[in-house]
Amino acid sequence: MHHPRVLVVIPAFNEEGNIPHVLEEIRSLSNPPDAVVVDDGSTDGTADAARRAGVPVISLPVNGGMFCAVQAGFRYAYRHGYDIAIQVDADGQHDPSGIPALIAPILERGVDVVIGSRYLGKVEYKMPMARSVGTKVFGRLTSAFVGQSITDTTCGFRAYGRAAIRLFATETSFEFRDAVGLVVLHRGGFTLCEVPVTVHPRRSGRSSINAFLTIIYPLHYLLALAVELLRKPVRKG
Amino acid sequence: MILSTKLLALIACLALAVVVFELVRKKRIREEYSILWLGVTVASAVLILFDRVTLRLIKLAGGVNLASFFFFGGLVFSVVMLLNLTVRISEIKRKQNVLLQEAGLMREHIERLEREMVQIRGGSGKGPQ
Repeated sequence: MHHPRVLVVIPAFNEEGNIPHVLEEIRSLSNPPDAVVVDDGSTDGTADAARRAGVPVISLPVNGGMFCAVQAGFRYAYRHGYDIAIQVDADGQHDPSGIPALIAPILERGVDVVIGSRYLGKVEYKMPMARSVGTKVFGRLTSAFVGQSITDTTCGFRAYGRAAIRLFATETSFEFRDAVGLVVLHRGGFTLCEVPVTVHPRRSGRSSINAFLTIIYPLHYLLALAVELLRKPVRKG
Repeated sequence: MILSTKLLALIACLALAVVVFELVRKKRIREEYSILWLGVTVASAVLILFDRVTLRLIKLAGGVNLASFFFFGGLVFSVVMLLNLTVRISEIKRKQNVLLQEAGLMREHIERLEREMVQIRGGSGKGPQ
């Protein structure tokens, strides 16, 4: 792929304190990709902070949730003809220096989706035990369904090629999230691979993942997986 | 069914019908969603009015009495209604996501065009107006 157009999609909800640092780190890369911030109905100055940094901002009028924000970014990538879209969290946890390694398998081997793995790479903070155990269990289960080893099914630091961008941008009937999203992609004939990434602690603010979500998540995962396996697979291309 | 119970049940049906009708009139409920409520109200009133026939039918189906039949009917209706509302909420959430995304994308597009216009005006020496 010659001169691929790469876009970093940054979904953000009340990340005024973190977004300038994230954009600065992306700009400091040797070959910086384009970036778009999706402000998911923030009540602080997230959108203005991103505009001041000179990047396009997709401002959702009200909070639509993580998937809604990410999908808005993918619609933008699809309409503007980007070859690769990378999801990077706005809290500063994903290290943008990992972007070249993340897009390399797409450029060199034509892989459709590259997943950043904290377990192959480095986690610079202590993940709560319940979340850590859950992620590993989902990893094993997902690996069994996709027929290859996936160590980190919940890390949002991922790169998507054109076919995956198109699917994520146009399919509105269900959400391609986390582990189940990977099963959907595998069943649709998309190729997946993992690369090691480094994850930092949050710079400021608090995570939106609370105890209630930690309990609900496994139930949601199992239900979504069972339903997905009974559905007709999506088609690549 | 004794007359006072029958009257009370019929008044309850009438009250429900009036409330639903009033909500439709005030545009708080769309006509299409009120049909199920009004249908159930009318059906209940008919079953209460002809309670002897209703009881005979219940016993033919293996039921015991009118009260248990109405409780069972109410439960079934509630479950159907909740499922119906869940389907509609899911569909509304899907549409809301699309609209939110499109609103955000349009705003970004407008901001981009405004920046370009400012640049063009600045380049032609007129400056932004």
